[in-house]
Amino acid sequence: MDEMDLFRNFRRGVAAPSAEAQRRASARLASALEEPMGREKAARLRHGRRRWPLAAIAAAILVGGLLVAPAFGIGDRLLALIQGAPARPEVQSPVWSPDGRRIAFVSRRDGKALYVMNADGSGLRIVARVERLATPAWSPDGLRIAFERNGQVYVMNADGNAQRRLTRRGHAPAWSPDGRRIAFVITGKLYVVNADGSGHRTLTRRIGDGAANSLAWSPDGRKLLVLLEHGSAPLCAICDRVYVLNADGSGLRDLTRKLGGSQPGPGPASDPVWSPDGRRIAFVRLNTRHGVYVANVGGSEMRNLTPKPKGAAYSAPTWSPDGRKIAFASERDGNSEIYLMNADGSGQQSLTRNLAYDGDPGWSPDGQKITFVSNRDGRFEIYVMNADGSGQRSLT
Amino acid sequence: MDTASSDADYLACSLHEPTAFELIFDRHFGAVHKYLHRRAGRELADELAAETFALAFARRESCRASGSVLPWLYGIATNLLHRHRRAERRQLHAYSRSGVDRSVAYEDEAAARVDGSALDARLAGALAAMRPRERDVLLLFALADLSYEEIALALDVPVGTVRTWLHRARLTAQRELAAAEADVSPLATTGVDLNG
Repeated sequence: MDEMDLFRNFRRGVAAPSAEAQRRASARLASALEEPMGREKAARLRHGRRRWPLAAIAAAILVGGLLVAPAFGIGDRLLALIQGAPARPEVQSPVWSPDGRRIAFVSRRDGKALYVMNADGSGLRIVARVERLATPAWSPDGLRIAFERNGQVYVMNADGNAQRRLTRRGHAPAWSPDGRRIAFVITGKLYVVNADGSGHRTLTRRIGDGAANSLAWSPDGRKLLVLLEHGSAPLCAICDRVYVLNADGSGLRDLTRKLGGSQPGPGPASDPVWSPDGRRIAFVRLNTRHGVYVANVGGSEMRNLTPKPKGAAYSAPTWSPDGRKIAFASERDGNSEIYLMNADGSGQQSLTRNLAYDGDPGWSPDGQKITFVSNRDGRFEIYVMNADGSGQRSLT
Repeated sequence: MDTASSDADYLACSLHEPTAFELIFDRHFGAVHKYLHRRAGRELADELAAETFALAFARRESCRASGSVLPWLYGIATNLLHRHRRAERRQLHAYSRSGVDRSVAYEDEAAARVDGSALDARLAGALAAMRPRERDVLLLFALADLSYEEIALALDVPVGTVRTWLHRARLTAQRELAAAEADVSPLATTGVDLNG
């Protein structure tokens, strides 16, 4: 037997106790039973308590003996628990087109690629090959998609035609609500360019020192929300801070400045999103007091909407289009599930419940459906459900 | 037959009829022994399983379980294991290195040698790297199949603490598994880059 074979034993069930061990333990218990017996027997006689019927004891032993004890191999449950919420599932970031007719997402299933399908799952196709799984951005009219390829920003029609490089460098493209401009980031510095590629200009000084993980315009187009990597610690994927600034680059504010530093350990926050009215921002706090937080754009009135249960991990908050609800993913039950709550944190309920990963929720523009990513059937797929959690089905 | 309610019944009954506790022993000795065997090896499991039941009997009045008493028994067993932390760590390190802990006997020795993966060795390394309480909650959850509430009952801590420890245990495990992955990657054959 080689060493690897020996390792494999770890996941196997261990053998039942030997008869000898059981006999000795039983004898030890019997002697313990003896000790208080005199006193208890006296008490029983004093109070005239009825003796337990022997027949009932015998029946109970019989039934008890039929129970199957767990095998205690380190099984799928442990592996699912540890690996159940991979940081990067192979299918990621489903994004609804603004008209609600199509869904774009990225996957590394057949090489890294950007996919588009109809909202019912039909017409699935690869529209672009990419080198990095970054979230694509729909144009407000739903006709085009901006995306990142090879560290450059590209624009194409939603069917993959007319692909055009917009900038020589750039990450996290975000389309302005009027459809005229695209903002993007190059190593911690924000830029904007007209959607036709003209008018390239710098918005800010260098704020962070790594890649941007997300960038979004406020619904009225007057502000930008950006998650920037800070501190170039090796292997630190989550040393991120959340900033809000005016669309002309002025008024930069670190929303996470009061949430503590990012070294060592996780950065303070991730996954920032605008409320539909543009007045508030939801995000996930990572460093301590984990939860889905909501703050005003100015950073005031910051509140943890999920103070309980303590110690659970959260991700991907997303507002319903009417701004009344927030869906999010959490590992509060042991692995990642989708939850729903009112925008004030009340009425929390789980929409999914199983041992698989369920994450990355996204509302349809009409607020009727929620897409999410799950590996409940063995591999990661895009799923859709009604906003109350009913009618869950795979789209891919 | 509702076995969950019977457990508590037997326990209550054993307060005035000690022999009723033997039913608890008959029903749960195998599970408690296997749990200890998995964590500390067969020899220590023989000793600690016997001690668990003797101690459980002595403390039966303090049991707060309303259904099955198994979580409570696992809690006692887990606390007893703490006296033997070094034995458990030694066993985990043995798995994660090239050798194997021969004190573990398997249900199916033949099958145990046929399939599986090297992940198990890395898993052992990750478990060894955890703080004892983090390892406790992870193994009570994953091996003993207890719910958060049952683990809280077993270890006599608030359920929020269970969540925190479990969360930390998972982060440790993920970090250790990723590190182990990085260690072996130069030997891996070239293939599709799976990193997004």
